[in-house]
Amino acid sequence: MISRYQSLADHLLREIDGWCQSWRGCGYIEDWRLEWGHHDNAARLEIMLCGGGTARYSLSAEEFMMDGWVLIGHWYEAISREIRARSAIGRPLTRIDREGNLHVLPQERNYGELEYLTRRYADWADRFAGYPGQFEAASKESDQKSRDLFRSVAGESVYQALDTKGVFQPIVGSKGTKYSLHKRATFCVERLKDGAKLCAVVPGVPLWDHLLGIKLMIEHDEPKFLKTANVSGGHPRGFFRGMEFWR
Amino acid sequence: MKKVIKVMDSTGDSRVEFETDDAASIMSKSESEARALFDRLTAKASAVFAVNRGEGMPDKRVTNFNDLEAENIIVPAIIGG
Repeated sequence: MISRYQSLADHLLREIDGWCQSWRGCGYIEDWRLEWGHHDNAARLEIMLCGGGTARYSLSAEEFMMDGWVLIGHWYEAISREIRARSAIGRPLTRIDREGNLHVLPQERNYGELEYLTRRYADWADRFAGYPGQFEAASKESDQKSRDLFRSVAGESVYQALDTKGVFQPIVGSKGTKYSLHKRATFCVERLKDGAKLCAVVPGVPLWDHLLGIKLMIEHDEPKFLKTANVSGGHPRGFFRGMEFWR
Repeated sequence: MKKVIKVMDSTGDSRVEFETDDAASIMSKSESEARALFDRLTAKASAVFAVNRGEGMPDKRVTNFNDLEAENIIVPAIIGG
């Protein structure tokens, strides 16, 4: 039987295969194995790293349908950064390493220190190596369990609104800031006052556990969440004031 | 009092049930195991929340094992995404 995800699978596998060829050309990886799991509709990628060791990733069609190519972009960045960092241990940085580090410079406090960045991402990669299933498709049982937990804690109406109606849910942080929670794996939180998207993850858990964990963290420890999350976009409040003025 | 700790993990969550008896001077085996789990995970920066507290009471952050309530959730340390 041909899966309804067949064309998506072909497209994704071709795309990922292209990345792997490029990574091998750069000397980061030795080999890779890529396949599509028809029983759970997920792409599985196993990478044999140049420095030894393997890294495994998977991406389900369901996740793809949720966030589309934006998620693919994040997925690519995450894997790429991780294998660069893991293969960088014990060898000098290449031009591509340095360019990759430059992309994250604006977010870094000690952005002048390349050595600091290398250390930081080596550590980051090690931490992620313990959670290879961050994007892994949850099994039906674990998915159901996480949905039940979310439902019991956040309430049926919140769950229904996020899941079936696809609308975001308001959250008020412990410091009073207003946010909205969206049903997606990355950048699931938006700050209402400036439209900034914030991304922090609960590693190694199904999507609904991740959403619940983030919701609880914001409601009870907003400073920790803000310290951890990466921020994208957003505009200063003065911008809107200016707009009001011109109207 | 019967309590449960739900630890979020890749299977959804793992549950540890235990009973506390304030009058008893010696901890039961299940309670000491739950305390060890609590200590181990909070040392790794996991966050603990008491949820579904009843009577419309909001969820609460818990930092002390003795403050655990009937239903509790442990969220692994969040990381930047």
